Amino acid sequence: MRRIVTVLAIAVVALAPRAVKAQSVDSTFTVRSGARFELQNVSGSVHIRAWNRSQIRIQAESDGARVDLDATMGGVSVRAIPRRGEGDVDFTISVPVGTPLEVHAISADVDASAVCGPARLGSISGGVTLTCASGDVEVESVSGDVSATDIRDAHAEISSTSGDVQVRQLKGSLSARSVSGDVTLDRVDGDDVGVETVSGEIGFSGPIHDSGRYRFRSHSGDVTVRTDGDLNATVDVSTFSGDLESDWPITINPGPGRRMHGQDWEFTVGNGSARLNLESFSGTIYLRRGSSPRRED
Amino acid sequence: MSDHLGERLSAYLDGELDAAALAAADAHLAACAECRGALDDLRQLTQGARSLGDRPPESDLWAAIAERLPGATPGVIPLRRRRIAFSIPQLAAAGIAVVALSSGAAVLLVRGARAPAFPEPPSAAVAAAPAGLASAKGIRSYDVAIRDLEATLAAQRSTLDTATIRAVEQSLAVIDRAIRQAEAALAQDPNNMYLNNHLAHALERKLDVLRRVTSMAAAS
Repeated sequence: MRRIVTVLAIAVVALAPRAVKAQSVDSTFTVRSGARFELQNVSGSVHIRAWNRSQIRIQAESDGARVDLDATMGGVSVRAIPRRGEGDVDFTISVPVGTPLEVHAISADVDASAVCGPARLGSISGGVTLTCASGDVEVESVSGDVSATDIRDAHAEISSTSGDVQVRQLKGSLSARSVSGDVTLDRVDGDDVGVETVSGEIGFSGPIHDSGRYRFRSHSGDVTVRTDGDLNATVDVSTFSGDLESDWPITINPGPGRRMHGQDWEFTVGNGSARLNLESFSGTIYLRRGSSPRRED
Repeated sequence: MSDHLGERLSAYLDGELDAAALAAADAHLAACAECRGALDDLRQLTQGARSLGDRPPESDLWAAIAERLPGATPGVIPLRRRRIAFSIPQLAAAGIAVVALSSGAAVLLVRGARAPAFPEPPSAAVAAAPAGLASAKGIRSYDVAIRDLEATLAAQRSTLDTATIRAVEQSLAVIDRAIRQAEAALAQDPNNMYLNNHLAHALERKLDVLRRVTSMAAAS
């Protein structure tokens, strides 16, 4: 049975807008296994935690916005609707472990931890932090920083337009992007990894698996790839005015793309089964042994 | 390294090479990362195009699109199978078309011209691109798609706060700077494969940022 609850938190706002800061919502809904949780917020904050119950609990403190809840056994949908374009809502959400999450916000910070299921989290100007997820994972911000930690069996897309991107302890495939922010990947273990930024720097640490495909691309930033253990890769290095430094002894043969300015090299390390593309138009490319994600100074 | 596979990639993907040509292509692909990358891109492009289905375009949609195609004449659209071979910059441009169409940007094409949110001078590469790489047409495709998304973003401006608008503008400026640097490098070395790819990718990146921001603004 569908349950729709509309919470009006606007009654006296016009008379005394600062005096009614705490308009509270606290509703709990029983859901079946695999139920989804969706939330849209404009401004304020969103905190999502897992708990050991087959229920979804929504707690909200609204500053003038209306909060609509739409609940079925298959999931709960929450939407904050501002009045006259204003109204912060601070949400604290509890969901069963593994609940698929979908959160869209405009200027609210979003964080979700310990839920460990699929997640699609986005905030335009807020930061987004995700700790523990699996499967399809999408974390996105326009001007905020984004962070994803402990991501398993992932098909993950992590991106920010102007903020920094940090990914730690990920297993699976990964696409990570920024334009002007740095992208730092620590202990990323996957066989299909694509990373790019325009003016930021890239730091990667993790294994380069045989037969895997890895692409690291920056325009003006440095690219640092650190890997432990054996490296069996065909390495394609492209730069215009940058340099390459490698801890592996390599013999570089000028490739067919080499011209008077551009440099395009391909070389093989070990049996060459992985494919490793390293590009920086004007930055330096570092191929290092080791496990630290730090970028070169 | 011998010449790249170029047009033979399409035939390779379609299984239309004879045994000798197939063996030669396999040998070349084993040794050439650029052609392997181009083959991957072509494979993704064709898969993306297939996912769009075979819906015929609306007649009014086609009229608007046709106006934007150089040399296109309105009227009957010939329906016949033909080989399409791509250079790498063309691949990138075609990928943009798939992205734009699949994300609903085709609808934007039927709308009238609007003032862009972030106006910029015409790309110098449109005039300077070497004919052999077909970059000019590809870059025009980017420009059209970028302008449409800029117009969409301008319409959504009221949903974004000033800090976000500033961050988006700064990020687009960063990409524009990268585009200009790639264009300048390409002007010195027009046939450089890396620089051609890099320019195409920078344009694609700008389109991607615009698409993501407009998509997020609409979703929120």
